[in-house]
Amino acid sequence: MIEVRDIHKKYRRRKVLDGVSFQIEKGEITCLIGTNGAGKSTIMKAIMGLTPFRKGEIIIDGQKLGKERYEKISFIPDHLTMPPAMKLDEAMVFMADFYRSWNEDRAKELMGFFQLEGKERIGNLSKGTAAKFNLLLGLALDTEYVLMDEPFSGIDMFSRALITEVFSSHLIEDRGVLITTHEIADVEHLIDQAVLLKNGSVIRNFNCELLRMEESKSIVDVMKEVYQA
Amino acid sequence: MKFYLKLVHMEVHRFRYLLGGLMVLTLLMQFGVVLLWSLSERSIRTGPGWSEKLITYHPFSETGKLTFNEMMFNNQFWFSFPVLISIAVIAGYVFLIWYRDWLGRDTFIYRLLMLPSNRGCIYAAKLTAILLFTFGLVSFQLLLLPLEMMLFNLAIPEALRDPSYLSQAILQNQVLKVLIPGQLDAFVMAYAIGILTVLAAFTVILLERSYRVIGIGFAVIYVFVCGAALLAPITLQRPGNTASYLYPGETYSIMLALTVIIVFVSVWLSIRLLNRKITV
Amino acid sequence: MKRYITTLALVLLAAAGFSTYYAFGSADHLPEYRLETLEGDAKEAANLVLVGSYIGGKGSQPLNLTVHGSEYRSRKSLYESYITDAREWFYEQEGMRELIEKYPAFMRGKAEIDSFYQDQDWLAYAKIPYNTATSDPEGTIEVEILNRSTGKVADYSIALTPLSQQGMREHATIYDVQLQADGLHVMVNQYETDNRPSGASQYFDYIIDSASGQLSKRNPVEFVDAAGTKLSSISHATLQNGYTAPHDYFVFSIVMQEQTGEANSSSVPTRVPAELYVYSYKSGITQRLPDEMQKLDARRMGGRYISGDELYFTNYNETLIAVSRYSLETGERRGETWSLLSSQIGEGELQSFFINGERLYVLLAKEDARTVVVMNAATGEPLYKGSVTAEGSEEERQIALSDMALNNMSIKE
Repeated sequence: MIEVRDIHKKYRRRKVLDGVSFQIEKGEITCLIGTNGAGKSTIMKAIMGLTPFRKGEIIIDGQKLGKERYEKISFIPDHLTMPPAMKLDEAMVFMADFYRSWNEDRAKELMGFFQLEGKERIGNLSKGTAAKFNLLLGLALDTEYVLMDEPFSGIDMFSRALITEVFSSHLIEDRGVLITTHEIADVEHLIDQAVLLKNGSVIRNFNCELLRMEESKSIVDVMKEVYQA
Repeated sequence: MKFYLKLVHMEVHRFRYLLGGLMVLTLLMQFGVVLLWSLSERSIRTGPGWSEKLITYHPFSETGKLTFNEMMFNNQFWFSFPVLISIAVIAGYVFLIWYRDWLGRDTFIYRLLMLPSNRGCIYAAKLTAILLFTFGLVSFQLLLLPLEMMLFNLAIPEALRDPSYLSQAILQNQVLKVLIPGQLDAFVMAYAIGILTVLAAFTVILLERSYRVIGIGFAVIYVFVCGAALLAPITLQRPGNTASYLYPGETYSIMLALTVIIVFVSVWLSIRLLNRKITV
Repeated sequence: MKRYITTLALVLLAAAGFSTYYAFGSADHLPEYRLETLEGDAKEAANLVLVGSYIGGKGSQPLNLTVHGSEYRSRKSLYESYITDAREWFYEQEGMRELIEKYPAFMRGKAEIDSFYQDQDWLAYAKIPYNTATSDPEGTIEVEILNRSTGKVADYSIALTPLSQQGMREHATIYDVQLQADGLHVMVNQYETDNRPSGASQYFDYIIDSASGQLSKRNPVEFVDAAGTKLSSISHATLQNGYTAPHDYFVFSIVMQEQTGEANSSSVPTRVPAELYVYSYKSGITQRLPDEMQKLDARRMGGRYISGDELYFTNYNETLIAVSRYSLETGERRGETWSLLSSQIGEGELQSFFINGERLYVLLAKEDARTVVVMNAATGEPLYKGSVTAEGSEEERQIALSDMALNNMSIKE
């Protein structure tokens, strides 16, 4: 379990995160929901040590974070973060070189699944293809947790379908997943836990299955309640 | 350790075309200058209307014959031009080696910071890369010079030339004599100062990348404090002035101690920023 | 491993390139010069240094030449240039380097060579502190006396008596410090700064009692010329060598200032020959040196030398040198004046000379050849003769000698 405990972060006087706490469980898909600028990406970056935060802690599997976290959590940002001059094959060699948890077989499987060409240069990829490769780089790591920041943004319908397929596959199965997305409708059926952010703190945090059973509400219903009030 | 080496290789690999380009540029321009000058001088001296009496002042050779030293002296600009370009490129890359990972569409810094290694390795690798590029280019120049002397000897027949020594040839060029001082201790000193500057630059960069605009303010203060600390001993206790309270050996020992402190602080601060305060 | 080849190649290049150069290729191939003994005792030239430059096709290289060989400035290590030789011009004088090694605490921050006094038992220093803000003297003379055997330092402070009562701005400079039986003498020049050049200026011998540290006397130095007129409005220099050594006399060279009207006129004063006066520390009396000594035209400082109570005078031109000795106490000549033609001494013309420690050192130049002759200053007896030579074949030597310019000689201790 990844436990985010009371994180505070200020950016130029504005309280971006004002005491955010929630948990990510293995085997569950958690979705961070919020308006633009609500701090969703910031939380992910904070978990990954890509941005500092003032107060609070992040605990993974009972331990504080160190450099080993990168073998346990994989982060897929909203854009591809490899040098444009690199070929796809070279990028995968790079990952294999540095990460113990890189799974070569899985990488090859995903290459086939997404129909990617190893000799292509990263800089020449279309947006959709880049997003797929980005996903590959994150998922081919045998990590316990995966964080995905806007995996669907700006992707065409067919690529989106392909990516959604991945979510239900063995590639995600036992892992704890945290995603942020605007396309709630597309993935609503996949989400186990929803965390709603407003004004830098967690306003609602619930299990989607339970909500549907007990209150017959969908996530979108709750969102309307929270954000349009 | 292995992470560090892999990162060094990655940094070198990314820069290989530029480095290669600088080397090729240097080679082509310098060889070109040597050839052009040598052939031109040769044709003057073998052509009609030439007599020994035309040489009244020959500072480069007892006999007035052509020497490599003279070639070096007379072609300051074109010979130094590629070297100056190289210096500018390396100086720029001290900053770009970091900033290129933040700029553009593909922010590689995400990936670097998420590598399962000590972030200090990233710092060390970038520093090592800069050093390798610098010393590599210096050594390359030192390799080129004897080759250029051979080219000179090929272009000009023995009867028209006198020998030169490598160390003297270097002294003829204003830029090279600074980059390749006559003695090893001066070389070590000069490049130690260079490395110190790179360390300071890295700290400035990381301060800016951690605190953005305020970071620039911190950086300015940092540079100012370091500069003042280093200059204070020799300005307050002038070693050349007998009336100074401290003897020169003492003043320089203080400077050395301060330098060591600044090196440690720079490295420590940089790595700490990289670990805790850096933001993408 | 194969894919690391670019990096490995670069590492190899970076490391090997300049290491190889500095190990093998960086020799500077400058000619090695030496002072070669032709006749006489090489010990006479042991401390002698000839200063000059090598001007070959590779730029000008300053060097020092001794009996042992040549020292090029460009070959000095950084440590030497910046630390051991940082104040070389000061260290070379009169054993300053040894004093600093022996008494580093005492020697700290002491800058003026002529404010020192040293003998076997004592080391003394006098200083007139100046206020850095107003650049006026603070009005005292600070004196430190070190007992060399016990290591104890006595320091005293005495008041500078102002020159005039009118409260004009004054400056004071120390010219000599001497330890005599009656105490420590400090020769101070006090002068008014506002009324230059004709402002009042005078020398005083401040005598400090060594035991109590009190000022016992302040002797004014008064110059009375041949006609019996007391001189004022003088511009003066002092003659001294061996600034730190014990002397019983202090020699002045006085020029009567032409009054050109305005006090701050910048016109060059007409040259009036300098007259010599001597002050005796023991008696406190200033005397004009006899006419015979006044007529001798020794333009350069090296031509006059004080040794004990004797003054050596040198008369010279390119081909002749003549040395006389006079007693500073009586003004009478001692012994015979001797003179020699340069052709009698060696080859060529006189380029430079100086007297030090009862030796006369002469540098002769003929075309590219340089000869050094050391003579007994009192008698003219030659003690050493050497010539500048270079290592290498005959041809190399000729070329090397033609490329060298020797300017100067001095004694390095």
